[in-house]
Amino acid sequence: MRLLRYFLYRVMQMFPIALFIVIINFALIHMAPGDVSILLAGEGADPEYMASVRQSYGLDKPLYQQLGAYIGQLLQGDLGLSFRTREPVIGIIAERVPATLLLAGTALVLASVLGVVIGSFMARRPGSALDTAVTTLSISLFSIPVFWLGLMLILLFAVTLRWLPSSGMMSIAGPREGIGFVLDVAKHMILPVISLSAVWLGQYVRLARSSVSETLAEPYVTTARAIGFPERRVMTRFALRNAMLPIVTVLGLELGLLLSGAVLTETVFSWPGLGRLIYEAILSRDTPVIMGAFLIMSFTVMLAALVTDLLYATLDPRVRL
Amino acid sequence: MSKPILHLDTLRMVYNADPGFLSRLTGRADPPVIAADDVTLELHAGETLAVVGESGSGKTTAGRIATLQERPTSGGVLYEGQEVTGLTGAALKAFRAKVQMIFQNPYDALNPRLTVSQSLAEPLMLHGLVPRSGLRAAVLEMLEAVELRPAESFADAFPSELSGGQLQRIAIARALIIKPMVVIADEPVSMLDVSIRSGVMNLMRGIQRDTGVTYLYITHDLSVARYMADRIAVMYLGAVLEEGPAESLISAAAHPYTRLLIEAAPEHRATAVKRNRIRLPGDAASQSGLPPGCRFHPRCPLAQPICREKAPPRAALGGGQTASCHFAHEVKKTGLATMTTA
Amino acid sequence: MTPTLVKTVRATVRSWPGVLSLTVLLGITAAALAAPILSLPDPADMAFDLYQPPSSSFWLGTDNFGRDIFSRVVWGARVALMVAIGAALLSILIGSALGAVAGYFGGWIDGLLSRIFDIFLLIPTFFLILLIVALFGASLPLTIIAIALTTWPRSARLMRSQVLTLKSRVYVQAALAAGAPHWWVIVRHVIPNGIAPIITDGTILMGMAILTEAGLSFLGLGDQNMVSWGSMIFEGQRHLRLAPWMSIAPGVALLMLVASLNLLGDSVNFAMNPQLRTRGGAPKRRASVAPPKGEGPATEETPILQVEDLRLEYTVGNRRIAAVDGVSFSLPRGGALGIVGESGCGKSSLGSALLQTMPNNAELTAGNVRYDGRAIILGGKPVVEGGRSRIDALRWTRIATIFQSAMNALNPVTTVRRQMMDALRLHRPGISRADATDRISEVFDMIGIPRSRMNAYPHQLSGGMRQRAMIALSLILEPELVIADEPTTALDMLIQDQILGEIADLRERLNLSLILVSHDMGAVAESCEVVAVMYAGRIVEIAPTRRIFDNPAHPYSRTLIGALPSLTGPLEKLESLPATDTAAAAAATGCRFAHACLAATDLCRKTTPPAMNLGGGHVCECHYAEDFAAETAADKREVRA
Repeated sequence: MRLLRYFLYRVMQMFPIALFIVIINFALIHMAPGDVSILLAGEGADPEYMASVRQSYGLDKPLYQQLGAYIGQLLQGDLGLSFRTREPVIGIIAERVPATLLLAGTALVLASVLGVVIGSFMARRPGSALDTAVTTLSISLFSIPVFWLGLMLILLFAVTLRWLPSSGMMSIAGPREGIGFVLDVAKHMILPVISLSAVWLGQYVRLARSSVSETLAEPYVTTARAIGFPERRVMTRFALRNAMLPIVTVLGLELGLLLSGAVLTETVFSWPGLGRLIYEAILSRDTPVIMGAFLIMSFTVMLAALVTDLLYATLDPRVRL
Repeated sequence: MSKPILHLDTLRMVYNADPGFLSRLTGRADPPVIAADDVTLELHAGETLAVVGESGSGKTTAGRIATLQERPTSGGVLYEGQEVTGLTGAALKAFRAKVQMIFQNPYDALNPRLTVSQSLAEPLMLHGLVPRSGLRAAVLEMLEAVELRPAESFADAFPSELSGGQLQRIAIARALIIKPMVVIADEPVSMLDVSIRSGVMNLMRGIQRDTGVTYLYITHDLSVARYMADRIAVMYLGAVLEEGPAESLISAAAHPYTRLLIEAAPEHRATAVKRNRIRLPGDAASQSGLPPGCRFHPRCPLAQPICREKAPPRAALGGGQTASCHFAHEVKKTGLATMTTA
Repeated sequence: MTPTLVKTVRATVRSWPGVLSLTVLLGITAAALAAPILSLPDPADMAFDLYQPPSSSFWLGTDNFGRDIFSRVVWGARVALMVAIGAALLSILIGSALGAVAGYFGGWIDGLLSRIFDIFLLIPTFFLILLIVALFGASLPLTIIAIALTTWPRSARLMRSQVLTLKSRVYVQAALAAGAPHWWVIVRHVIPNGIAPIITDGTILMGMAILTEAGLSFLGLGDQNMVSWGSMIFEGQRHLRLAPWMSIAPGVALLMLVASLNLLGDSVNFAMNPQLRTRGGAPKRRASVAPPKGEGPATEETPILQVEDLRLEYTVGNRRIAAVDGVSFSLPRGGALGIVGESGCGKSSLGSALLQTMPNNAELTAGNVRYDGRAIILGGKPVVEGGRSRIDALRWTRIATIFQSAMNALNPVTTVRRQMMDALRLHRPGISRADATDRISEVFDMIGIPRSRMNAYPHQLSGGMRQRAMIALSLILEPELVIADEPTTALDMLIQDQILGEIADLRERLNLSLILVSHDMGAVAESCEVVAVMYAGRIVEIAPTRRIFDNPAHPYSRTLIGALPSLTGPLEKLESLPATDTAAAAAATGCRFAHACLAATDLCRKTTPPAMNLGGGHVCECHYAEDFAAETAADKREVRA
């Protein structure tokens, strides 16, 4: 019950943020060089559609009414038509979401689990040569441009060794159902997931390492040792449990960055997700799709932040519910 | 009695009085915190008044208001009979030249990027009291006055090179370098080791003897208050419960709370007789909800029905001693033995 | 240069990641600056040597237009650095100005700005930049501005939190109380002390900016008129199979620049807070010894704890500091020993040595500890029997501890009851849930915690209740010996008195042996039969409580006692020590108190004083102990007469 109230409170806090994002979008459209109706409808749209866009966005009315009309359109789920395909943007995006979720989700799980394991292992011996080496290595990992790492992986595993496919999500003539399909997709996923998660692994190793070593220095850990808990239980029950709090927060906050990494990765591997869509939209100056994708990404990140908050609240009794 | 040099008149200070719209809507507003409820203190020139209380008693708030670092929600501050509560600009600056402050934490008292002499020269520069060419000499003189010798080497040191006792002496020097009339000292020795602490206390007493400066000495330790002060005021939950000359307050306290404080103080000089501890009902006090009636009654071993209903008036007990207790006269006479049978 | 700045620079330059990153950074910067004057081929010059692999004439090969890649990489460094410096500078300028205003003045400005910071945290900024560049056209200045536009909230948040802490710093408060105007305080006190982390974070910002620009260029949104590493990879991608060197070289350059920026930030951060690198960790494995032969059975007379010549050393950097420097005492069963001393005297280190819970940078270098006649430490090494350390077999079932500041000594995410339950079941695996609950209730009753508070989390309890919960936790397994380290520090007077009362009560009722480590002479005087005074790692005097307070023989003990103001006794002028460092004293030869002692002679400064036995369990390490003991006794008589 108290959790529900907390949830509602957080949801209410999200409204002004959502509004702000919409206003940014709106402001950018109006500030950008060129005719607003062309930006919204796409270049070379037929006059009839152009007129209907003008009509529905109220482009001949004062700005605040235009904003109202814009928000009204968004609330109806109308993100406009893609200028390239003439299909509703919302539909095009929805089509691409699962592939991105699959890629980003797998990479997130892999990087965070591995990161926490390696990081907490390093936290057991802070300042050792291994710790310094791993810290330096993780810094180098997240300094790699993710798209370049993808290219290098393709060069090695697809071009030179010919072990793995270099692009797409499935083989052209491959199976479309059953275990064969799953394996085929999995095979296509390996390289993009590695490049995306490698970069984030560096981040999470460092995060987990500092967070766990910080908690290991806390007095309650000394208490646990004085009580006689074996070190493994001290680690899981006392250190990790408390160290998870900052880790969860950062995970939630950095989802936006992870998504931007996903876009670049998808571009390299021709992964048929949102990122690929955005890339194609940029190439063909399909502004309605770019704006739609920005909005959808923003709302996804907000949602993730909300979930993180709730997770945090259940993990930490000190959060006032 | 002469007119007080500094007079805090029925101060009240409430934080979080007005929660935001969203917090109120969702019922998540922080409860208001009453840091000071009813504080009246009079400081007489050349004297030391010690304010004693636990954490949350409002003693620090009283000190911050006395230096106008914070403005009270209601009530006033009078300096030499003049209302100063609302001062701003040049008038405020002139007031600050007269009323200075010494803080609790010596390790944080000085800007780590400035040398001691730069820190000490700052108040002189701000108030333009000494020409630029005379700053160094004034700083060295002040360092001598707080017994940091050789003054030259201390002047050029950075704070990170000094010990807690030395830092607090410099903090005292900074407060006194512009020759204020009143110094508010907020627990100036509580973070120092015992053997260093007494040196700082002796220094402050010596300076008072030499310059006649007035102290408002804030402390949680009654024995320190007794050593430093002419008069003692005991605060609890934002109000002064008892006030009086140091010796009579300690030898014949008229408020049960003062009595309990005296009993609770561990006394290494006493003979090996184990004291009888009274198991107190109730727990540490909270500032967010004041109990009705007497604010101390939930923890008072002598509480009577009237204490739960009616706030006690301030009773004058002669010799300048006052106490806010329904049974002040009885407690002054017989201590905590009063009415234990009731 | 302040000493802190010197230390930071020195520590950065001394760590190998610091040196490495600085070298790479300087190299890249030098190359970028010198690009126009180096006799490189024009990066835009097309030639007929298409797709040339790296060779002596084309160091990094040529691209699909025959352009020299090495030259393009060097020129690309200029773009990368321009983006990095431009975006970071802009972001820090805007961010720290707004952050400082928000943090310093608070109120509605702060509310509004904090909201904006929060919003930017939730916006996927890369997409926003992408949208801006897509809408307004790709150009380098626009890219830099767009990046700064999304990163300034990061600098602002950092500056705001810096200012918020700085605002409550005493020296800022003192400057305001001295009459300094706000601009003065901000310029002189706040900014110089708050800027360091923001500059450090600047290196991270620079790395982020470079990667963002590279990402944009890779998506085809780069400035067409500039040579950027990102757009080089963008072009190289299409020729990956034919000319992989086209993408390899700019990527390596990107990686090196960004990694060295991040590494530098990290090294500076560690140099400023060296404890970040080494604090925490799991207890390290220490050399152990087998139990000695012929340990007789314990009798009633066997002391419960016997400590001989215990030494503990910390290693800090290259220095070794002896925190406990040859401590011996013995505690009879049921007895209570108070260990008093001032900060840095080694009393808490002694406590951690007895429990063997000292941090990894501490080492027992010598000494024996016997518990109930059985050695648990021999020659500084833990005694292991049957594969298990002897101390582990004693933990909590026989030796328990009460730590100071129970807020942090209890696990904040677990209820108090749960923590007791865990401890109980760890040592009594067979215990039933009902029995365990009964035992917990029993201890709670004993210590005066209402049962309604059993399921509370530590943060939900008041300071006094929390300390009670800590005591309850220590008693849950009915130990024989409790080591209490400052159990009442930071509590209010009335609560402090109550807790001491509880401890004294329990001791009597449960026949506990007690070691009370405290800086509070009064607390020790009332709770213990024997008091040991520690100074600079040694027990300089130990005696029955009344004896040490009425008739102290060591000048240091005398000062300590004389420095305490009395509440009910006669008002005397307090004694004090000069404000010097105790750490310096430990290094000196002779008596370690000589530097501060008013009665010190040449003998004291040259020769370490022996332990003088004054009879009746009174031992004092002072050359003149007998004289002082006699003198104080005489003084006392005079006062009484």
